[in-house]
Amino acid sequence: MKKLYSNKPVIFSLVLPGLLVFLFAVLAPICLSVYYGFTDYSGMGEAQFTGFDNYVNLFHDSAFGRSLKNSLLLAIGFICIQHPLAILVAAVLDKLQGKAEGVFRCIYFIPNVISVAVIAYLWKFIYNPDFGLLNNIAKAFGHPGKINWLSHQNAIWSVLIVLIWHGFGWGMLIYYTGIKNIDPVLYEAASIDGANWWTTFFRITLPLMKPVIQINVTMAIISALKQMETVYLLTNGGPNNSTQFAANYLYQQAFKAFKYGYGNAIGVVFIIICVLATVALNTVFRDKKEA
Amino acid sequence: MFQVGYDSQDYGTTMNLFTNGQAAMYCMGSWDASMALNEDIAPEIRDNIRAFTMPVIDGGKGKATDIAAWNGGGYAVSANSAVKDEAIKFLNYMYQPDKLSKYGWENGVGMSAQDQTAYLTGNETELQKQIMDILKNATSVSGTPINDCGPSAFKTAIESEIQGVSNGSTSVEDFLAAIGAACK
Repeated sequence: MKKLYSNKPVIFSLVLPGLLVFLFAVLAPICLSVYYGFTDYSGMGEAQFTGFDNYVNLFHDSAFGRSLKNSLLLAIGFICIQHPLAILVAAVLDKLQGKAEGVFRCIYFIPNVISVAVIAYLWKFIYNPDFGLLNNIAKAFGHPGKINWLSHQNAIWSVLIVLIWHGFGWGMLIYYTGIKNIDPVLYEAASIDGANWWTTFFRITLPLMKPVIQINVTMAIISALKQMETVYLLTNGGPNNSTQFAANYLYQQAFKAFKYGYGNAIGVVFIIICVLATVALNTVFRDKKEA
Repeated sequence: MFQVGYDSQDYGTTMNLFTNGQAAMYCMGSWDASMALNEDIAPEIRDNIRAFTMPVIDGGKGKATDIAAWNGGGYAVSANSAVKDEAIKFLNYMYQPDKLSKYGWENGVGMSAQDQTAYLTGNETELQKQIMDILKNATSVSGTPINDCGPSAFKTAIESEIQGVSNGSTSVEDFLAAIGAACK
C-alpha cells in the first residue's frame, strides 16, 4: 500500500479527475467571466471588446450599490442575530438530554429541509396585507390598519427575517456538533470549581468553539453575499430594487436584460468581494489566535 | 385603486387570489381569458369572470374605450436552422387570421387583437364575448406597449423603475431619467 501511495503515476491518476472538474467547472468559467466582463456580449452574436466600461458603469449603478448594502445588512444580521441565537440554542440543547434534545433539534432544523420555493411562497402569504398571518395577529391585538410588510420601506427587513429564520437550523446544528465534541471532563472540572452555566459557557464552551465559529461565520458571510433563490422568489429584488442582492441582480442583468457582459462584470466583482471577505475573516481570527 | 401591497404581488400570487375568490378584480390581459374554461377553478368563480375597461378620471386624457392592444408573441427563426425555409413558411401559415388566432379563439384560450366576429361558434364564454365587444368598440388601440419598444435591457429597467413611480418611492423625473439612461 505504501508503494502504491508513493507511486507518482498512481497519485496523478487519483488527483486528475478532481483537477479536471476544478479546471472545467470552476477555473475555466471564472476566466471566461473575466473575458466577457470586458465585452458588450448579449449572450448571442459577436462580443465586442469595451474595456473597463462595464466596471465603470457598475460603480455608478445604484442598484448594484443597493445590492451590496443589502448583503452587508444580511451579513450583520447573520453575525449579530442568527449565530448568537444559534450558539445559545445549541448550548441549551446540549444540556436538555433525552428525547427532548432530539425533538427540538429536529424542530429547529425543519426550515432547512423545506424547499426554498415553498419557503418563499409561504412567507409571501404570511406577509400578505389582506389575508396574511402577521396582519391577522396584529388585528387580534387591536392594530387597525393593514401593514404592508413588503413595501418599499419594509421589504428588506421582511426579507432579512426570512433569510435569518431559514438558515438558523443549519448554523445551530454545526454549533451543536461542535459543542458535543467538547470533552465533558472540562465541564465536570468547572462544576467542581463552582462555575455556573454562564461562566462555563463563556469560559469553556465559546473559546473551544472558536474554530467552529470561524467556519460558520465565514460561511454565513459568503451566504449573505450569494443570496439569490429566496430573494428571487419572494420579491425578485423589488419593489424598485429595495431588496436587490448581487446574485439576483447578476441574474436579471445577464438573463433578462441580456447584458451578459455586464452580468459577468458583476460576477467578477462579486468573486473579488468574496475573496477579500474570506481573507479579512481569516486575518481577524488568525490575529486573535496568535495573540 | 389597488390594494395595499399591490407592488409586492407577483403574477402567480395575484392569479391565485382571484381564482380562489379572495380578490374581486384582477388586472390582466385577454391572454387569461382561458380562466373561464379552466376546470381547476371553482365553477362559481369561473362562470362569473367578466371583463371591463380601466376606469378613467374626470378631466383626464383619453376615454375608457382607448385600449391597450397589440400584436404580441413574435417568433424568430435561427439563421442557422436546417429547416429555415420550412419554419418561415410554417410561421407565415400559422399567423394568418384564420389559423393560430382563430384556433385560440375557438378554444377559448386567448384572444388576439383582431375582429373575431367571423369565427364565432356560438360556444363562446361570456368573458370572450365581453372582450370581443371591448375590442370592437375601441376608439383607439395603443399598439406595442412601451416596455416592448426597446431592447431587453430597457424592458428590464422600465419594469423595475415603474414600481417605484407607481408606489411613490421614485419621482416622475427620476423615473424618466432612469429609463432614459436605459435607452443608451
